[in-house]
Amino acid sequence: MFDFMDYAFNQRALFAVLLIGFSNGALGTLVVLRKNALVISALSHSLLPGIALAMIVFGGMTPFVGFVGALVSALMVGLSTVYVARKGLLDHQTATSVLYTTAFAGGLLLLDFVPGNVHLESWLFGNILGLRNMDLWISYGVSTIIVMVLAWHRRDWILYLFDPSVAASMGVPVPRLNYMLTGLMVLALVTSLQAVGAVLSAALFIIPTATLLQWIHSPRKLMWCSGALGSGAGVVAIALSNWWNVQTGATLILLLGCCFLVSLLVAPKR
Amino acid sequence: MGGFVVSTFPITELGESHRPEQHHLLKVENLHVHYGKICALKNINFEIGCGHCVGLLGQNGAGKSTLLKTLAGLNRKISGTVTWSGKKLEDAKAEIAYLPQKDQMDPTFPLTVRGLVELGRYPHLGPRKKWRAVDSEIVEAAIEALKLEDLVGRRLFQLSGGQLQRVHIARALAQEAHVLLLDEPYSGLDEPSQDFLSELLRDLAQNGRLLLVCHHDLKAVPQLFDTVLMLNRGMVAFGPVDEVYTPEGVAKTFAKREDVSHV
Repeated sequence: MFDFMDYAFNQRALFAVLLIGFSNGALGTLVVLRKNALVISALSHSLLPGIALAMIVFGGMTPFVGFVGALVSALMVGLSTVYVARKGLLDHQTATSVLYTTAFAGGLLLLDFVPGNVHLESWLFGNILGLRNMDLWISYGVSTIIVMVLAWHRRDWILYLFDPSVAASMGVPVPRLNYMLTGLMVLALVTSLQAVGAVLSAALFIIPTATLLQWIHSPRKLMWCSGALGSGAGVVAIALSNWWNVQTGATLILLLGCCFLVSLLVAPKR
Repeated sequence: MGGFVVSTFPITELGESHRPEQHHLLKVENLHVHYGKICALKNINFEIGCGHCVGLLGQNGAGKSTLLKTLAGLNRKISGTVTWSGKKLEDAKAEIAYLPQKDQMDPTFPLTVRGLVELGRYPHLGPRKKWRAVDSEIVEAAIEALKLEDLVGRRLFQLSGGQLQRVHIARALAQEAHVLLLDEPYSGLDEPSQDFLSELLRDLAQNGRLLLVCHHDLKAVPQLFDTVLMLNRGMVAFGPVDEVYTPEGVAKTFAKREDVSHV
């Protein structure tokens, strides 16, 4: 029944979903409670110009080239939106929409200059079974950083999420947390790209917290339980996708979607 | 509802010498606040000690909330000086509690009443933010002082407007704040809830805290506040309510801005 685990690519996939599922699920609590669900979706599209540019510069696509290109691109767009919003020029959501669509359009144009045939399927939808050891090391490093930052600043995050003005009045470094949250979102997004792709990656952040929000009334518990749900769903999705011979990334998101629906139906009414 | 026991609220960790006293003075000198090219507040000067309930009066856009946010340390780009007990605002974060307007808060945020009161301990937790037994004791005392024992497990969206205000005041008590800055606490409350809240604020002032309360409704001002600060982007009047809350003062405060010559 579990003989699919004899294959190294499945073992790597399992390790990756445990890490990515947990860190993205936990970080997703901050994203949802800060009402940034659409921002993370937008950010995932801003990775394209970085990846395209990296492919032009390095003459091809490797995990490291893709990671660095996507990271630089998303950081530039993400931190620019925080800066623009902070200066009061535009609200955060509008600034994100403007910058990410511009970045995406730039990425599409750059693709014309990439040598050879460009296959965007794995970028759009991910390929968790194609992960290499390098990808795993990147996932391990990024997930460790995310979990450590979440744990170290846990009390700051709760006040910041509840009301940034109350948080600032009590000495919480709100501007620093704004930049930190965007930085972490970008790191997590870039890392999960290979596993579930740009289109589905936002779901890994949003659905675990959205599911548990009906049940858990403490932001701290919500954060760690969302991480556990992300990891757990990832493990089940690997098993199901092997048994049914279907795509793992899509199975994972569909499974989380089912959890959300069930939770919505059976949760106590407000 | 009557008979809150805020007078017996213990400030165990800081000791008796840190109880709010008359010598704790909020001093505002030549305060100007600009948002870009717009002048939101001009030339504000006043000083006041603990034991007062001050009403900040003025029409919409008069600068009430701006002043409150400035006193909470939320406006960095100001000119002039604001000190509390001789300290800069950055050094007095633990002693000043800011309670924003109800509309600003998300009632669906996953927090219980106890969780919200616990947030008040944040400035006292030290660099590692470690929770100690004394923090639990102070939170319990704040809950007891505001008679919230029956509500501790409730989510915020399950509370009425009046109950939510009490929870926020309990957070300020847990913070051991000497100064409470309340932005429109009476808005949206029915009459009994307004009466409960005014009794509670009076209790807090009588027990040595300084309260600054944004208020736009002129009804019952003399009953709610002992001091008023009347604003129209600048200071129209400041002083005891029975001296400065006059028809002329009110007319100037609510006059169209170009008519206020000295602002």
